[in-house]
Amino acid sequence: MPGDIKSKVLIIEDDPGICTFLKTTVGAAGYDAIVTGSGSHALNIIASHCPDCILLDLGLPDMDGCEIIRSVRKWTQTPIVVISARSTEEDKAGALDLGADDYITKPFGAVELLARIRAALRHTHTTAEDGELALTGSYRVGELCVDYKKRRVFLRGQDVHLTPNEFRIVALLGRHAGQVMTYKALLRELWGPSVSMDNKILRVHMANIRRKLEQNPNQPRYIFTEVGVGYRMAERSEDEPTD
Amino acid sequence: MEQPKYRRFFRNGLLFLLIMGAAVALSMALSGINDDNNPFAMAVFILAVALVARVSDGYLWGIAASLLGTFCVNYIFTYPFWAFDVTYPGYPLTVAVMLIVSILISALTTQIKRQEQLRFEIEREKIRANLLRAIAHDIRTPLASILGASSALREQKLSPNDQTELIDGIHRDAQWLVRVTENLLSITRFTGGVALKKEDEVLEEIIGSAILKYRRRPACLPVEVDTPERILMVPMDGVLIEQVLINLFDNVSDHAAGASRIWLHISTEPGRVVLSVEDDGPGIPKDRLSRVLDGSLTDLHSQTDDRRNMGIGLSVCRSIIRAHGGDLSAGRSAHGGAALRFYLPYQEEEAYAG
Repeated sequence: MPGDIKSKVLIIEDDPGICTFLKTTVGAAGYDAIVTGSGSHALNIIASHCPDCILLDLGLPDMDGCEIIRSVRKWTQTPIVVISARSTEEDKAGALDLGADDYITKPFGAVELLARIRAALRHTHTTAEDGELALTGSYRVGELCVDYKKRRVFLRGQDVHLTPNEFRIVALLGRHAGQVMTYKALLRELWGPSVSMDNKILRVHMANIRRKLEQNPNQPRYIFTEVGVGYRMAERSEDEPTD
Repeated sequence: MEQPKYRRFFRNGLLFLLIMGAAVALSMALSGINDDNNPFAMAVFILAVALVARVSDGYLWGIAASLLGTFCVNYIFTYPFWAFDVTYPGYPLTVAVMLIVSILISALTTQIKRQEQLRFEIEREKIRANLLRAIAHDIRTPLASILGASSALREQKLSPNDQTELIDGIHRDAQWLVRVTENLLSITRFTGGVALKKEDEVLEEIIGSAILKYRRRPACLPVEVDTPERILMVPMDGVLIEQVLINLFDNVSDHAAGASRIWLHISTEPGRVVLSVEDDGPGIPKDRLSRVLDGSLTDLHSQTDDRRNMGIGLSVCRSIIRAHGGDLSAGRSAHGGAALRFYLPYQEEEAYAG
């Protein structure tokens, strides 16, 4: 983002190779990169430098990455993007449930990394109070519009007739567009903390929603599945017009 | 490992009770015929002891059987009947014979089992060594090219064009290595004592995610899926089946020269859901069909492709599907190219309609 002050990105990663890659990429994109390989050092830096975004590798030598998320979330909402290996869906879901904002799976390219950082920064800059959602009472992406005032979802201007439960799911995903919502988080928000952990009902609702919203449920445009973790609502890309 | 130990104890105990009970019953039935000292009882119990020692694990059960056998012979089937008489002249001999029989047979059984175990381990080592050799071979070539390209970039003065070409090469090779390692990681999710983690997954979600990831590849083809109206909830490890689909799609774009499109057909048969990945490329030659899947064929489509082969990818697919209780087969597609069909066990449930 071209501004007077560079956004500060803290990179917490112990592998020197990945570190160099992250630092170079982030630096070249115009951010101010701060790098550390130690968890305890990272906590100090977060307190003293107040970075705008944190890239966190969960596997650190001196501290469990989840510990860092937990202690950071005690006092700040600074966006945290977790860098994780594939094959550890539970870890990803666990990190998100602890308060991480997003994750990126190793290996990844520069474009993908920068997209996640931009998305994470955007979420802090446009909170629910001053975002489009609060201004217009609706969330739009592509031909989809979630109207929070009328409690309806429109596709190409047509009401898609969701059931009340289906609307609540879409509304929730729309409010967190671009972010992965874990099954656990969705269930908790929709049916309260006492709901059983069986996410089958949620899956069936999602399949029905997909049939109503997506032209081709096998190649969705609006709601994506993160296998083993949860769902993600598509986010309006930056070049897409507002209306 | 507590559970199997318990189970083995119960299995051994059950067999012990069955065999010894049968021996008592048989001897009792026979003793009705001839009410004198029962000479056959001894024979029946020696047989019973031998059987227990053969079918149970370790020595303890056989020894217990021989002690119980001696006791039974003495107590029930030898004069005085229904009384224990240690002064009975043949008694020490009976004990000794039964003990020796049980120990001999237990020893033999244990030895045979140990040899089987050893053979099994040697076999497994061999498979492991072959797999390692195949992997090392698969990753050496791209590594060599990455090393060469990066050293050229570092040490030589190159034109910007040449530089870009080398960098693209490094990128391509690294992506290939990523694919190989993802496949290897997939296998570790369910081998080496790790059980497959099956959960009910909505099939279209897995397919959607696999297509999304495949479509990020630089040389991907459009994928056409025929979607069943019903929601299919299939028990599986979602990440692994996603990997299978990506491998099968990759296989088309890597090997089916001239293919323009991938079709994914989904159908249900009693007890299973069948997925078929098809293309309109040249297809797999008939003489190769059978060898395509086991990874032994390293020059699949050699006329159309360079040094790389997805032999490892397809054999990973097959291992994953077999671990799910399904199977993978190769054939011809109605679209003109190859068809790789696999099925997964699936029980239809009516409850998900609407």
